[in-house]
Amino acid sequence: MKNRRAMFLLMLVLMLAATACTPNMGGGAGSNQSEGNIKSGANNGVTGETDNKKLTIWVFADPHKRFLEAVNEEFKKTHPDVTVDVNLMDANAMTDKYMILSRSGGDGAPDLFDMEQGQFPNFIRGDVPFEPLDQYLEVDGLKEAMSKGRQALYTVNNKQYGIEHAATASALYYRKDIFDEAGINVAELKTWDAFTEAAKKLTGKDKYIFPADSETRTGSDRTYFELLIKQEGGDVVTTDGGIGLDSPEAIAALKRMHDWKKEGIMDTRYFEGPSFWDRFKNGTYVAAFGPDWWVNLLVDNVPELSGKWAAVPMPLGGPSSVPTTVMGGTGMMISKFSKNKDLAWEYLKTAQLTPAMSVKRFEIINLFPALLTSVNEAGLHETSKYTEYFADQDLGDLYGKLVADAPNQNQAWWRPLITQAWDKHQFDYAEGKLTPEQFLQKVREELERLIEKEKKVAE
Amino acid sequence: MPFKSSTGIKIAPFLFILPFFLHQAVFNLYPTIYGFWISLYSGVSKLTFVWFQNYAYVLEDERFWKSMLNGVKLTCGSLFIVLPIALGVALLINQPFVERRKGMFATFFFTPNITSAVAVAIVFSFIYNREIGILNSFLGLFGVESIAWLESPKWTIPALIIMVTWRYLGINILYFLAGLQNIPHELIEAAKIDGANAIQRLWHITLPLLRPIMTFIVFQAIIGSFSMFAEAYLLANNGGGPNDSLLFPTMYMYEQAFRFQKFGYSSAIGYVFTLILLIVGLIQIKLFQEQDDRR
Repeated sequence: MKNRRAMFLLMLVLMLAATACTPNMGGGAGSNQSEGNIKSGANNGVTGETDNKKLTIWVFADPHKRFLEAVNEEFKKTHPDVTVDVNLMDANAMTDKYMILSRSGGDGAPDLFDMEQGQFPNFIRGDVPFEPLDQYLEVDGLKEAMSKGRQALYTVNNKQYGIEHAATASALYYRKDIFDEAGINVAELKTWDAFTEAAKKLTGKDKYIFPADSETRTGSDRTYFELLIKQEGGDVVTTDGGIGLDSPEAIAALKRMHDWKKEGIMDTRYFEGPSFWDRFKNGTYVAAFGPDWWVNLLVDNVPELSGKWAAVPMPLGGPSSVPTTVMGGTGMMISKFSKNKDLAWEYLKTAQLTPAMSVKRFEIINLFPALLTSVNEAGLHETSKYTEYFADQDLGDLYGKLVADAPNQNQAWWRPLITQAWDKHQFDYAEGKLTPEQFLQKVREELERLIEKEKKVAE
Repeated sequence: MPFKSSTGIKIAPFLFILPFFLHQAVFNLYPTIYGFWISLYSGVSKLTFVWFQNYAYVLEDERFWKSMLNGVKLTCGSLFIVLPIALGVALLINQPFVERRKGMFATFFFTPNITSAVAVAIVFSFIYNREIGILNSFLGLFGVESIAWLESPKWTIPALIIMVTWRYLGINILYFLAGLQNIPHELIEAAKIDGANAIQRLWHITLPLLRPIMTFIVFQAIIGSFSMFAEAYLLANNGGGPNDSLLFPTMYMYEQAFRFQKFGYSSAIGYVFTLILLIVGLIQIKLFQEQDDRR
């Protein structure tokens, strides 16, 4: 009896202790910190009122780190006492770490966070653990400075949380030497149909025009599908937040890839890492399409083909298609838990919102700016290792023209679920058991089911 | 001066064991209780107390049961493939003619176990590559068509079992070796004198005497299979693989907490999962005990 009483008392104490620690997810200290912190204005970037003269930035991509190191040099000129620590981390680990920090009071959070757009939906359910930037942009008169389409990626409930690094405008890249030798003038081929027809003569045993994906480790058709659906004027997330997976644009995009595979234009096999790039080196693939940052990968991984490539706007598909598309993106954000929000904003402004740094970024890592005030900068037309790679072609001119047509990418909290729905039926589709229409219909149904389930559990 | 309270109870022994209990309380007991507490909440930022609703959702969650089914499949692979091979190798290493090279063999088989799970998964993802993987190239020599080890939902679990066999064979051999070395030689000798052949000696002497260590090994294999994370996660390219065929309960918990911010639901999954394993463990211990009693 005594034991029972003791157990009861122990349980009661534990319950009370647990009640005292009733979970308070997100919000908390960080929310309070964010209030009344904006005081920068047009003070030429010198705040001088920071508690701690150190800024910590988390990034997941080495090129971004390289660029930020250049920004540090510039930032030092106006903020000589500030130390900027740029930490390169694995993308998933970085997201998880920040997620945990944001759930446990934010201690140890960085001041600035480089958010891969695909990871942002993980943070937009509930309180967003980043600082809204609208007021900062308003005060500094930069509200209209960025491409709206790119900013949509980081806007939730009309609040903007991140500033994009790049326009991610996409083009068609091809081996000019090989196409020229075959007598194909790619610049004259204005539609995918014309391009496909002309390119057929370059295909054969282990000879394709395009790889099956862009080496982003998806190991599926999804990467190119997402590029093509946006080119056609659609998106997997519609403008009103619905599912656009079985729209006419989606079907047109997947059917095009399906036909390419059937005709030997696109490889049906998936490679990654060195074996992917080797196939460019040995001429298995002679063209690709993708955003500016993909060129960065090509140049780094296949340096021996420098001078042999050319870039043109993407050939058009359906009636609503445009000669470009977008893919990926990274927005720099200020942590809600930063103790130096004003200073972080000054840094962010220097890195993302000044034409000089936009030019620098294009020069160092070939990311064409999403900053509208920079697209006419002469520096974007200077020679770089990327222009050399493309036989001294003015890539700045090409991307500059494409940016105006670049479509939006819409954001939704359920966007990450698409991978799960896609993976469920991908193998059957790859094995030819489903047509593109049937496959997209099945993915849509699965996605709807997953969204409903997620809603039910989270509410 | 000895530590003694006014009531005469010696304090020193309690002080010696205090660090362990403190550690347990802070890092095990508190998270366990807190985990249970948040499993009663629903929502992302604004939490609502929902009693046991999360548990009800877990019980009807197809993906959770799919992850448990994957755990069962891997457990079968561990129990019927890894453990028999480990026992066979341990019996071989325990023979007098390899006695002197026992250490060398043990090192050979144990090395995969201390290799980083990430490195192992990356290497195996190359081995299993449908187009350039060494395994398909080897099978191709015998006319076997290229297998989609990591792309086809049918082949992902066999691929994982092959990897797990390579990786965890060593540790299981060591467990079995420890058990074999505790079997008195006299019993084996006596059986030999009585005319028992090798199979009879194995069946009637070695295996029954290995039962205590086997209880532990089998339980380890079950727990390890259901708790599979790093290798499967990386083989599946940071996800659950095609049609969730590489999704395991711990991965599902992680995904629900850190991808979808459903910490309450994730905790409920953890509790249901633990409870199921506890029941399985108790049944297993009971079965082994019953067999012992019968003998």
